[in-house]
Amino acid sequence: MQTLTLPKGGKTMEEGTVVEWLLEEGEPVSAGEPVLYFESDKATSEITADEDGVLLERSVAEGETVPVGTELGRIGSDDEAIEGADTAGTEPTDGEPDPAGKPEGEPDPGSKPKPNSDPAGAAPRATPSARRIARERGVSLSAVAAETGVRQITRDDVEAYTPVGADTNGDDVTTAAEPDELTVEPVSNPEYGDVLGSPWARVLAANHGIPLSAVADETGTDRVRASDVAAYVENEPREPGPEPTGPGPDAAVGTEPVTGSIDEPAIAREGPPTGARGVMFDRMSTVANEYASTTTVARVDVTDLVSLYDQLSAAWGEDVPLSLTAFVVRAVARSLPEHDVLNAEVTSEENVRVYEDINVGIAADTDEGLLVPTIYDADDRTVRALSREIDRLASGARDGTLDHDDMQNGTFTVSNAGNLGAYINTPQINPPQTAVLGMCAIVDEPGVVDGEVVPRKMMHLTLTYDHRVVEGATAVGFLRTVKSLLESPESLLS
Amino acid sequence: MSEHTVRESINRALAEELERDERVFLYGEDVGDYGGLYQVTDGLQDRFGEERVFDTPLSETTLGGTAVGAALTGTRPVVEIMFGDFMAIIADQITNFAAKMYFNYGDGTGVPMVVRTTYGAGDQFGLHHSQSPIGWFQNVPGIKIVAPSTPHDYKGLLKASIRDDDPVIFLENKLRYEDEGEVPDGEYTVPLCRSERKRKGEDVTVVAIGGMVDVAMEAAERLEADGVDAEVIDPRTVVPLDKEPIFDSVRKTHRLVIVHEAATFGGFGGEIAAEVAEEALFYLDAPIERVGAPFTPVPFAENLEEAYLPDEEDVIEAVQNTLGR
Repeated sequence: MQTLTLPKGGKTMEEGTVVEWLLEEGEPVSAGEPVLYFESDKATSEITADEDGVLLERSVAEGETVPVGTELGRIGSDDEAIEGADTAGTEPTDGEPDPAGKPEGEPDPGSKPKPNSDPAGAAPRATPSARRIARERGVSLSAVAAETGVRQITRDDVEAYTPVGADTNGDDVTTAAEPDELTVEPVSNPEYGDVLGSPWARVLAANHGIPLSAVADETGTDRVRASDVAAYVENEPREPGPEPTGPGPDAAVGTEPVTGSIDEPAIAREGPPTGARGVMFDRMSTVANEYASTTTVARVDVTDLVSLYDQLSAAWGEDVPLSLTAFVVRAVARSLPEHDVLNAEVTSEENVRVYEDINVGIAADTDEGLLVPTIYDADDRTVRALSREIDRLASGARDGTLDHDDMQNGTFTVSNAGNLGAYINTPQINPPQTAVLGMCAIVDEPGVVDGEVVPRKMMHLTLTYDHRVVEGATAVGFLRTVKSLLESPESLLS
Repeated sequence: MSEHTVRESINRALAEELERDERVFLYGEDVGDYGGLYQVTDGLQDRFGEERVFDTPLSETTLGGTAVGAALTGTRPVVEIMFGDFMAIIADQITNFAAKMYFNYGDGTGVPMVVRTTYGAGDQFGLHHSQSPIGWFQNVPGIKIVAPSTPHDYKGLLKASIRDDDPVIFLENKLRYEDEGEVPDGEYTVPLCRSERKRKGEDVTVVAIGGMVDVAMEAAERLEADGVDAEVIDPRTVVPLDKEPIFDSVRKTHRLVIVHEAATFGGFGGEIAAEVAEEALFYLDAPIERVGAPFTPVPFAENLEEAYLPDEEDVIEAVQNTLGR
């Protein structure tokens, strides 16, 4: 006897509704025929009879919703009707009815099975390969079904029915012999012998300057991982090596033995910056790290200044090595008292020291690097005297004959990159000073004088200042004063 | 914030977008009157009418072709393919039409359509109704593939997918419709093409996709008891993949485990592994581990299906392998 129970159509299905009984009680049914349709939250499915017999009982009416596992009815032979009623619910269900149902919505059998159809007459179900073999061998599937009593015929059933010895062509891949299991041998590496390291372990070992073989010996493994390298480093404090720098692999990849073929650029020379360049390195580092360097620029009409310079050069001759820088230093020395925070030093976070004396440093390019010798008391010197002093300091810087005093005590700096051709140049502050003035190239440009466009000689002055202690207005005011002095150059001679 | 299931989140996302933009409409097999095989679209036809939420015949080819055409006219169709397995049928329309229009015309022509579909095993639907189709489409430039893991992400990513101007395949895991989680009450979207770190850790990176994110999270909880601190990354949008967070994580943990439900061989995990091998090989301290299904169709028998699906034990074993334990 078959007890019809509501199957679990899926893990989320908990109950189902009987949609339609296809048989009345007492009506005969053949194995494989649908008996009823039920609906779950997913779809409508059918329950089929497992055996030939009659529908003994409908336990659940159409439209009723019941939990999974509920008995829906029973199928059995006529003589089981009474016996079955006694044992209802105690007999285990043999064979789950089609549990997955037809969730995709494939059409349920369009024509309902005829209750009285003869099971022997219905075409048996068979798998495609069973059909193919049956066709090849001229075997009737119905005959196989009748012979074996099976309603769903497989290839084995057909073969069992026609045990022809010829069927040994062995196209059954599932019985192919398993290959012998591969034995993995460690690959011997010429660099490390039998020791293998993970990529990250190699990076760490390389950064510590440790050979992988040493890690392997120490930790007793031939498969070195990062943790082994770490353990080795911890146990070998006598030889710590450099700390791994940065994130590691991307930087270290060039020194990795396994990738040593990467072409690095050839080195011409290397070493620490020394002498004047060492001083520059330190001071510029200080400025870069600590100063709030800001630059403001003025455009100065130096037509008259150049004209005056030419006249005086001719008049004074070689006796005086006249330089434009001298005029600028003169203008600077005159302007600084009014803007004295530019003539100052930041001696510490808490202290800004403003100087009364005006000692102007002159940046001088030499073979050994940039030197900044000092013109003491620049405000007390005439253009002529300044020119002589600048010449002395410049040649002394080139010849290396300046003494110690010449190289210190500056309170402000002027740097002339204009004679090197710089259109705009912003020199960096010479710490602990608070400002530096840059002179730039003199260029012929159209200018406007009395409403007329005429050729003029123009020069940029750039003032870079430490904005922590110098206001922008102060810097601009200073530049304006210097500019007006240079644009009326005779005033600088008095 | 309120607690909602994945099913509710998707339903709300669809309702909000139907409400917000009259160009949006929804169709597919049984999405209207029946409310969807999984009741995801329940009530939408009643609310928005048969013009905008309607049933179609069983023809995925037609669904794909009409969606591409409708999107080209300026609407924003949302199509439901009942099972991801049938993505094979709509694949021609997606691969050769939806994905190609933008490149074919070069004039900004877009195909703003969304193909929603269910995927995954575990419900005893057998070999024709349980597959994970990511691998079938990951090699097709021009489409986005989204596989969310939480109710929050399902909602936000679906809304973003509908608003996106590219064709989007939106994957819904069958077993996760009942999962509950916190979802914001107000309007929000989750950006496409952004992965999310679902769990912070130092020892190993676990990249998990779709329904496997929960599996990875549970594995991570159990590993924590063993003193293993696992980081879990959920790409959310599988294609195009947001790779950098994965690289960054591997550079930190030096170990990588990838978890997805589809077969390991030829699966998306191989792509992630290859990307990491290219970008972060020298940060790896162990071979990359992939956790996925065996290379066989999804079995029907319950015990075989259970064995087939990746679970927490598989993830834990893979993590232990990367740790050399």
